[in-house]
Amino acid sequence: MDFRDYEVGDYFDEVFAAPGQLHGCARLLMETIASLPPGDLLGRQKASERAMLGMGVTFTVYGDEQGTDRTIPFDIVPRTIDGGEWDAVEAGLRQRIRAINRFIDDIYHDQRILADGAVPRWVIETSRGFIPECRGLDPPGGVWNHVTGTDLVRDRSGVFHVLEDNLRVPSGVSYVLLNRLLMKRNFPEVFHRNCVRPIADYPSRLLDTLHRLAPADRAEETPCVAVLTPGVFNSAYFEHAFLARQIGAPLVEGRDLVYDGRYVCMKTTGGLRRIDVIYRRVDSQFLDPETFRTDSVLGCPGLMKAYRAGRIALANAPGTGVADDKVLYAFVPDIVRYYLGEEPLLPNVPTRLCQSPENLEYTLAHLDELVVKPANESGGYGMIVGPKATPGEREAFAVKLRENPRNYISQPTLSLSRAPTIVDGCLEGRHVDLRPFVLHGGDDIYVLPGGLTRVALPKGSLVVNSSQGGGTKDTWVVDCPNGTEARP
Amino acid sequence: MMLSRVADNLFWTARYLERAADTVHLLDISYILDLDRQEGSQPQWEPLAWITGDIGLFRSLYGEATRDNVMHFLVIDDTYANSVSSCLGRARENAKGLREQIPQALWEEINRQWLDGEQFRSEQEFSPTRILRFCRDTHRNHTLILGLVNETMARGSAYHFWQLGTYLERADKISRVLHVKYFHLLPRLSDVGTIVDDAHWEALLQSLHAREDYHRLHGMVAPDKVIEFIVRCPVFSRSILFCLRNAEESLRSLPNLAAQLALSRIERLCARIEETSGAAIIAVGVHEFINQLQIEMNQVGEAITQSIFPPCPAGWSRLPAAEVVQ
Repeated sequence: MDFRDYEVGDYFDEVFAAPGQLHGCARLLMETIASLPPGDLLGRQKASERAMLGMGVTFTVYGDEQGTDRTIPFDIVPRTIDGGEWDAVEAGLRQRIRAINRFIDDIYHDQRILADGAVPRWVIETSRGFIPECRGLDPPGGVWNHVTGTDLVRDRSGVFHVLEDNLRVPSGVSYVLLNRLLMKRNFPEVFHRNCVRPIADYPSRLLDTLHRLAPADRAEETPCVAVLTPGVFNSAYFEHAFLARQIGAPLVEGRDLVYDGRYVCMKTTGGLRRIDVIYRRVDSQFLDPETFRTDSVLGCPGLMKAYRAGRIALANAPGTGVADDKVLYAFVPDIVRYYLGEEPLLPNVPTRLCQSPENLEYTLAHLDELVVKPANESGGYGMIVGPKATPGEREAFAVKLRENPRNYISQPTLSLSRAPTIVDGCLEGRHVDLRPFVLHGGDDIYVLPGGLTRVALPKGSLVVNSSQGGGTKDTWVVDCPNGTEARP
Repeated sequence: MMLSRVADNLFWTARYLERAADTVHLLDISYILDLDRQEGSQPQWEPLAWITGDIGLFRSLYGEATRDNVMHFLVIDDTYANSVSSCLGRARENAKGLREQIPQALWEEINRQWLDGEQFRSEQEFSPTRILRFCRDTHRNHTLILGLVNETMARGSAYHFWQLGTYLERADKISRVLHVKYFHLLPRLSDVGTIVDDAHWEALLQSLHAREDYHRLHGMVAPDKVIEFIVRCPVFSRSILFCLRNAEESLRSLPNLAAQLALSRIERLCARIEETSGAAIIAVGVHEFINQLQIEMNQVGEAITQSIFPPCPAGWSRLPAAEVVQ
């Protein structure tokens, strides 16, 4: 396969610094790909897709009549990031996650940041992610957001920006681990020589993070950890089962749980068994119908009683969604300054809150240039990419926007970076983002090197969400761009 | 120790897969034998529908039994809950809920078997040759699945619930085959116990994977010996007794007292079978014997359900933790 016809275009390209010229961290990989016999790369791509289907690596798209199970398209050409560049991103993520955690803890206790005016009170009061029932909760070690998936994008100059913080139940890490598995089969030589940073220890680090949360009276023995899933019909069910297997924890549903008056237990063939830590993949609002949404059957009545009494730990703690709100997002740089007294290392995308009349008018007037997102949705649902929308779609969106301006933010349409992707047997540039996964263990914060690279597969598309037809790539953080026989 | 829901899923996944495998094998053998059928003798297609226990449903859907409609009913009819494709689909749905419990390779095989089935059905070409090829593939896949279970699963609760599902289903299917074939394959009812058509007995043996072992151990076909062989031969891996003994072994290995009831029931059942010779079964009547057998196997099944879901006494959820933590 050759790349002579590859168009870099007016974008930052993850692999090509300029037409025909590679970034250092991609050189070895692309030389290897170039040296493959014709058709070989496509053959590997097909084999990888078959492997995914066979493994049952599937994702559910809601509202799709075609059937609930489909595999996420996987692209065999990885995205490479230079190790030095990545170190700066990691530092920025650590800073951001630490500050956000301090913020959540403050918001559910003294609300100093509101009193001091660094974040306006209305942001919290109108936030759907703010859960009043969580006020006064004291999660172990003061850590709320144990697992975060932060979405990053690169603009035309190649600078990483934070696009979204996902602090509720971020998903995608299973694809990162599986993509890597497939890539190791496909390009073992390059891996070794490039010193690609390993990610295989993520499950054990996750387990360690969860073990640390166990109630003190269980310190003597191995804590009982369970993964809580909404069930097989959830879009990320595959991932829940995958992670449960990786950390050797039972995968439980709400109907498997019972509160016995003191502890949360699971119903087993040997009777009830106490659980110490739940890695929950169910939204806070569904955790306990006695405390939160009364119609929930996904949780366990009484769970929050045990939680308040410190007899069970939850990761993430309930209520973290307050920092997921896209309105709050606009204030994260201020949050970093407020709690840490530092300048943010990772910039936000410039964001306008439609809540202010001035911004609302600006947004309405420039709807054809902007991206407008609802504050409390995820998965790319309910947003509009102005330049790609039809006039009719924009009109309809403007109506919704006027009805509830608080619920929307607008951002300039970014020229997201692109990466070479196999399309119809050739390499073409497609827009990508990056979701690194961060584990907050109290004393230390671990950032998985790289993360999930999502690709917008339709030509020109900027929407990378797998629920909207996006695909994925493996992400390599490369420490030895020139290749070495031994790791340094 | 295992989640009740998971234990239930394991048990039923194994049952559905076994059910599908037994059906395809039966169909395969019946088809081959039908090719040799003599002029004027009874075709064997309707008995196949009888064996499923769903003959009423079959008649309401298809009317008179023919080779093609029986094959369709048993293999690809997804409105029929016990067709091969329905069983594979349900097994796979169940197995989805087991993915953190069973070896990855096992899940992949169950998933692949289902994908193959979907692929086959989507091609919409159901000639007997193709259906038979699908049956053989399914049977081979199932053998692979059982191999994976034996070679890759730790001998813990998951394994034993799986074995329970497999062997109870198999014992049930063997007893149905014996029951139905015994009556349907003999040319006339008055011939029962007198004139023996060797070919029919051979067919019965073959559809239960029993032909070669039978001849090796007993030589020529004799009705009481065949029945005895299928019911209680201790070394033949597809005798009813052999299956029940395996289920008993798994019940004994389950680390919980709730399995006691099922265990005592199956022990009693096995003891009774061991005492009953083939001649005695014929004397009692094969029909009566198997009816009683099925009642008792159902009672074992009910007791297993109780072991999966331990009973909840009133106020159970209020028990202090110390008493319920194990």
